[in-house]
Amino acid sequence: MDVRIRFYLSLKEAGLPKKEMAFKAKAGISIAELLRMMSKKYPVFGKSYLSNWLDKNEEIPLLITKNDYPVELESLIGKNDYIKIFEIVGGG
Amino acid sequence: MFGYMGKVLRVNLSKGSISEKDLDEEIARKYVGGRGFGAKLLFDELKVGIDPLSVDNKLIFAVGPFGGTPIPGGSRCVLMAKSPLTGLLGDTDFGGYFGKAIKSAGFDVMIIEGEAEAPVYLWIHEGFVEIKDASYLWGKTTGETQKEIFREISDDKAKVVCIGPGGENLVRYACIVSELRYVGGRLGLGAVMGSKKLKAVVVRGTKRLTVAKKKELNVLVKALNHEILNDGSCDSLGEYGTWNSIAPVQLNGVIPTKNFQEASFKLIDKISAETLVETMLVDRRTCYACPLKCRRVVRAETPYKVSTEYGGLQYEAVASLGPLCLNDNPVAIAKANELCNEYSLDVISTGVCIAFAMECFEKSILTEKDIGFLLKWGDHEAMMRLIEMIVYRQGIGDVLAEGVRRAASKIQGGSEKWAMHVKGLEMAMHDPRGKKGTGLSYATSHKGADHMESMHDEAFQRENALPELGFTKPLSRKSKAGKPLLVKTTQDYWGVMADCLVSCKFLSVPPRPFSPTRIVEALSDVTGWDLSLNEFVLIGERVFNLCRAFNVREGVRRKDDILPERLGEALKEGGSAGESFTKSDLDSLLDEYYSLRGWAKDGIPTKETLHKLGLDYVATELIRHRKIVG
Repeated sequence: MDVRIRFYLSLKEAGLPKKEMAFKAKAGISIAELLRMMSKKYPVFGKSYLSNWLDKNEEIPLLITKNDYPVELESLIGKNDYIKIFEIVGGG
Repeated sequence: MFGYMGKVLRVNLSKGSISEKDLDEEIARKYVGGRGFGAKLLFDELKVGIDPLSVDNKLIFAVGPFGGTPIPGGSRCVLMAKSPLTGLLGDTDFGGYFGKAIKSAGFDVMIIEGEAEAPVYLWIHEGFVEIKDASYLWGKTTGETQKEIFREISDDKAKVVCIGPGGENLVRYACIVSELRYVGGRLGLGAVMGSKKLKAVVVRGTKRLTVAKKKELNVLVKALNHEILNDGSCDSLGEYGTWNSIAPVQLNGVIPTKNFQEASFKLIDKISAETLVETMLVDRRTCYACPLKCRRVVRAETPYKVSTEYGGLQYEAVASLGPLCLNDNPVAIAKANELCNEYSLDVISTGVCIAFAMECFEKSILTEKDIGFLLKWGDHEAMMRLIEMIVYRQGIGDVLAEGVRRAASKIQGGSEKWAMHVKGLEMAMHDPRGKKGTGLSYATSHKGADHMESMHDEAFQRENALPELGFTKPLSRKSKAGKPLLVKTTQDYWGVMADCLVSCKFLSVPPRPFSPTRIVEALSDVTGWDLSLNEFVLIGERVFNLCRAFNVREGVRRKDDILPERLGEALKEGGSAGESFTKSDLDSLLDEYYSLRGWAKDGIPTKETLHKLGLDYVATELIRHRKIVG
């Protein structure tokens, strides 16, 4: 299935080609699995945002929502789910 | 002098005198503008120990060299005075169009001193400065005031900064309201305006600013605007405004809830950014020359009528008038925010004072008889009544109008333990237990617990967050490691970048486009100065130390760099469960922080540090006051 993902972070810093993309994945994969796949396909994104999580199991500095609701990494993605990935910068 | 209008306006309300003098170029190079100018003027001109609400205090409006240029977010305005809330140096800043208007009227700084016999407002236009009668405006809300002034001067394009009854009645956390929707909130400078019987400052002008390298500046601004709109790093701010913070602070368990008893709000979905967008967002606005439109405009009909006149609420209002008081009604939060703008009250301090009173009621320290009604957690109707009582200083409102520190001291019964403030300033809506750098920043800022004094921990949890300032390795938000250097560096950097240039902090949080290198480049294009990044940050360090010296002269030392006792209790739930911020945590951070700053162990800048920063005269003054040894 195609997972629709919208990024709210610096494309330049994250080495991503565009703000919104469809990412090919198996139905029923988890957010965590999706992120692992993305870190392989987009290594700059992986190194910047996911390396501490992948290497040391530390917190991911990102907020991830599914259909506009924040979700845990274990959350499963289904067909037509819309994923948003926000960089958390604090302040406000 | 490129980037400056070159004029300082001084108005003495006691004498009714108005004078102008040229801006000293040496001062401009050393302090840049905004907070730099204000801190120097207040340090030089205020006597130690004055009552902030007396005739002796001075109110300073200051802009920076970016003001009036096309640099996005560069036309903010700083307002400074001795704070009636903390008794220390007070400053706040606000966006919109007022900062640009000051430059267009021909000034970089406006100093307002003395005290009028009867209410007045200042009308500054095209080289003329008039002190006008405002007796007929006294008692009116900010909305009514602006309307009446527009009618009197027959000009609705002028930019109005004013106070409502909160400022007039000397509520110690009264704010100032610009154009009804841009607010200089913290530290009670609206009460300073009220004490001077200054109802409003109205500005209009058409003077032009000259910059050193117009062509280069235009190229830079074009690139910045393109990135702001297209790079993605500002998209959440554009789409959701500062409501974009709601979900992350909930996720990380740092959203102050039930007066900081908790940091995770179970009913967050009721006040999420998406809910607010769906239920009340009607428009988005921007500040001068910024393409982002992060300002919200809201409207609601029920259970409260909220008009678009006062713009809309930001994250800090959502949290302080929502979860902090266990209020889950988004329209009630928006209404309370509107009342604060109408009456000129700081939303954060108002929310903290109400939550404090709710906890007093819960613990039976305050009763229905003391308050006049039940004050249960989440009761938004009671919150509205309490706001009115604070503004008009009725009953318990008169006690809460003094701020949470003084209120606790009056109410007693152990309530000091849940009076959430630092140096008298009510805590902003970021629980430091889950972000240790923010806690250190609250403790060491000259303002107290303000959230805009250093960059927040969350932005530094990834690789290469801010390499230009040396931050390449991820720092855990919950950890103390590396935080003294992070806080010191970003206090200095933001201090000059945002508070002296008077430019928007939101556009400079990594990885957003206004990077340190670009800021220095923009400053060179505007002023023609050739500064390295290190020299630039050193200006921030100079101003930070000057602010600290002001407070040291007033008696501040290490004993005052503290956090509320409650933060020593570990959080039980949420994304920061198990985290606490104990006195010993803070002590170890302060030791390292003071050492990095070149301060003595008691938190006072040394003579050598002040010399290194070109502040010998400040050292001499502190020696004269026996704060440091000569």
